[in-house]
This record gives sequence, structure tokens and C-alpha cells, in this order.
Amino acid sequence: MSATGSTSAGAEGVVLRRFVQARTAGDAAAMRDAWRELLTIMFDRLDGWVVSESFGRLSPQEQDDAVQLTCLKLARRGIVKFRGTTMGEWVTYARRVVRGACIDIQRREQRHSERRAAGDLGTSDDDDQPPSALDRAIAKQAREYQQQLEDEDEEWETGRDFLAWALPRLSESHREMIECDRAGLPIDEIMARMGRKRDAVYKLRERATRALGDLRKEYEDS
Amino acid sequence: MTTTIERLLGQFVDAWTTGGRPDVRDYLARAPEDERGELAERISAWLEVAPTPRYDAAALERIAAEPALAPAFAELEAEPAGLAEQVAALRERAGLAVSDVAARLVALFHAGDPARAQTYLERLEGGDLDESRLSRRLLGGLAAILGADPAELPARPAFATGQTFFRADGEAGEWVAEGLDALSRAAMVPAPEGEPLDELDRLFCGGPDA
Repeated sequence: MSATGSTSAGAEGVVLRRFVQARTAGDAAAMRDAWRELLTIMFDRLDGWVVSESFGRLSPQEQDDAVQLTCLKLARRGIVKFRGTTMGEWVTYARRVVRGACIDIQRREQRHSERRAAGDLGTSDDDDQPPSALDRAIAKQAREYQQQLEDEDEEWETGRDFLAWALPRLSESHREMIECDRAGLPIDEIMARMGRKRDAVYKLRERATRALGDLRKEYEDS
Repeated sequence: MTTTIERLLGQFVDAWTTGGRPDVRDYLARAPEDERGELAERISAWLEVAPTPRYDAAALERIAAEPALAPAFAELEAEPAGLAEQVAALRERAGLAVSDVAARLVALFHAGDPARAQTYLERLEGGDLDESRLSRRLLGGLAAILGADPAELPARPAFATGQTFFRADGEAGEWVAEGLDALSRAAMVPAPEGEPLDELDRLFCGGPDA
């Protein structure tokens, strides 16, 4: 796929396979091309995750910053740190990066406030003086930065494939609903396949995604 | 009869699947305020199983032109900057001399000797230190002193971190070779010998966890 082509259901998997092949072959240029395509076709999902994950915590401007930071993190480090081979691993990984970016933006805003409150950084002329508000702000920030760097190192470790773990735990009807959505079936086809009316499909989907969300919490706590 | 959340989620999914690029913000805005959090949770969970939308060529062009993607694409195309030049650039941006940063570092970590800290910093900016041996504490401290985001400090990792080996041809080859060279240096540089490591040594040479 290229920016002038088009996509079909499963396109992410095709591009990811191309990325994995390039990685295995040691073809850095092909890796970059595939990663760029992956970011493009995943962009709406990343954007949607940021907005839904940060609902009530980030302002609209901060959400935009978090979307940009997510993409930047994936481009800067994800391309070499992602070790997975499946879409499930990629999605699990990308979602963790989204969460990390949202947290980073939240911390950044807090840091800026504290820094502004402490004053601008001066030179070392007053080194013999007791620790200033700025010194304390720097010390606090340094500890937070260290934690952030540790979190990021963990973030880059490819996690398990959440869906591979979660799908077998869903009820049969919920799993069938999710599988229809994963296959990208239009609503009319889902209605025909399941013998349900539109409203019934909407209800089932809402319950299935709620169950999936509950499993996500269980998965993260395990 | 569907609830608001069921209906909005269903409509979001229908729009997504047909490549309509639904905006989560719009759907949340259409929900009653006390139900938006729950709708956000449902959409977030559904996006985990969402298929790739059926984007046409025009939609792909629009996505590729999203402002949020521009820095990421630029990053992919750029040669990775070394930590040495990043630190120097951030220090200049902050308007600080190396001696200023050294004094702040010593104060921050109670590390004793500003002159030695300055020497270490000069070696760091000169590319004379093994970046893989820098501690996270040091990177965090430097970021705080320089007023930078820590994400600005760690360089993009070498393009081969033990997972594979790369052919070196053309521009990409140079990029890769640079990474391999850094790895080789990391493997060849012995740990400091002689005197036991003090706090400054641990910060600059003790490894990420020191």
C-alpha cells in the first residue's frame, strides 16, 4: 500500500508482515517505508485511543499534543524497539505507547507549572546559598524524569497479545460479535449473519466491548 | 430500544468500518455529559479490535498530511542525532555554560567535585563517553537542569539492538553502520578500573540502573 493506494480489511497485517520481513532481511529502508505506512493507516486508531483514554484528564490541546507525541515515540523508538510479529502484539504495544504519551503530557504540564512557579534557571553564582525553590524543583523533576525513563524502557518491551488472551474468555455471542467487527463486516451483513436487527446488534456490541474492557483491566492487573 | 451509548457506539463502528473516519471527539460530544466517560471506555475497548478501515486514496492522502504525523515522518527520515550533540544543543538553548551545568549536577547528586563533573560533561558533549553506560539518574538530572523533556535526551536507539543485523548500503546503510559502530564501542570499552567508582563515576559510567 502507498499513500496513493487504498486499503482493505487486514491491510495493517499486510504492512506489518512487510515490516517484519524487512527487519528479518536487515533492510532498513524498507523498514522505514513499512513503518511509515503502518503509522498512516493506524493514525485514526491512535488518535481515537488518545481521545478516549485521556477523556476528562487532558484538554483538547493536550490531547492533540499526546497524539503527536504518540506518533513521534513510535517513529523514534518503536521502529527499533518493537519485536513482535503479529497485529495483536502491535495493537497491544501501540496502546501502551498511547497511554505512556498521555501520562507524559500530563506530567509535562505539571512540570511546566512547577518550573514557572520556581523561576527561571540562573547561573551558579549563588551555589553557596541554601537550596532555592528552583533547586528543589529541579531535584523533584530529576526524580520524576528518572521514573519516566524507567517507565519508557518498560513500555518498549513488547507485551503479550491481549486479544489472543482475551477472546477465548468471552462468551460465544460476544466473541462472535467481536469477530464480525474484526473482519470489518458492514452492519447489514452482521445483521444477516447473526439473524438480529440493527438495534440488537448495537446492544450486543456494547455488551461485548464492555466485557472486553473488563478483561483488559483483569489482564493489566495480572 | 437502544441506549444512547449503544447507539453512538454502533454508529461510530458503522462509520469506521466504511472508512468514514469518525472522530471520537464528535461522538463523545453527542453523548449526555454524564455518559461520556462510559462511551469513551467502550470506544477505547472497541478500537482494540477495530479493523483497518476501507480508506480510499483521497483519505490516505489526508491522513498522511495530518499535522500530528509530520514530526514522526520527519523523524523517520532524519539521521539520528547523537546524545552528545543533543546535550550540547539543549545546553546552548538553556543559555548555560558547561561549568553551570556541572555545578548544578554536583549540587543535585551531592557528587562533590564540580571540576570532575565538568570534565565528564565535556567528554559527554565531545562524544567521548559510552552512551550506553549513562545512568537514567544522570539523564533525568540533565533534562531537569536543562529544562528539557527527557524524551529529548535519549538518542534514537541504534537501529540494530541485538535483534538483527543490517546490510550497509546507501544512506540507510550509514545509519545502520553508525548504530553498529556504537554497539561495537560499547562492547569494547572496559569498565573503569583502579579506584572504586564514586558517585560521579556511577552517574556517567555505571550503566542505566546506577
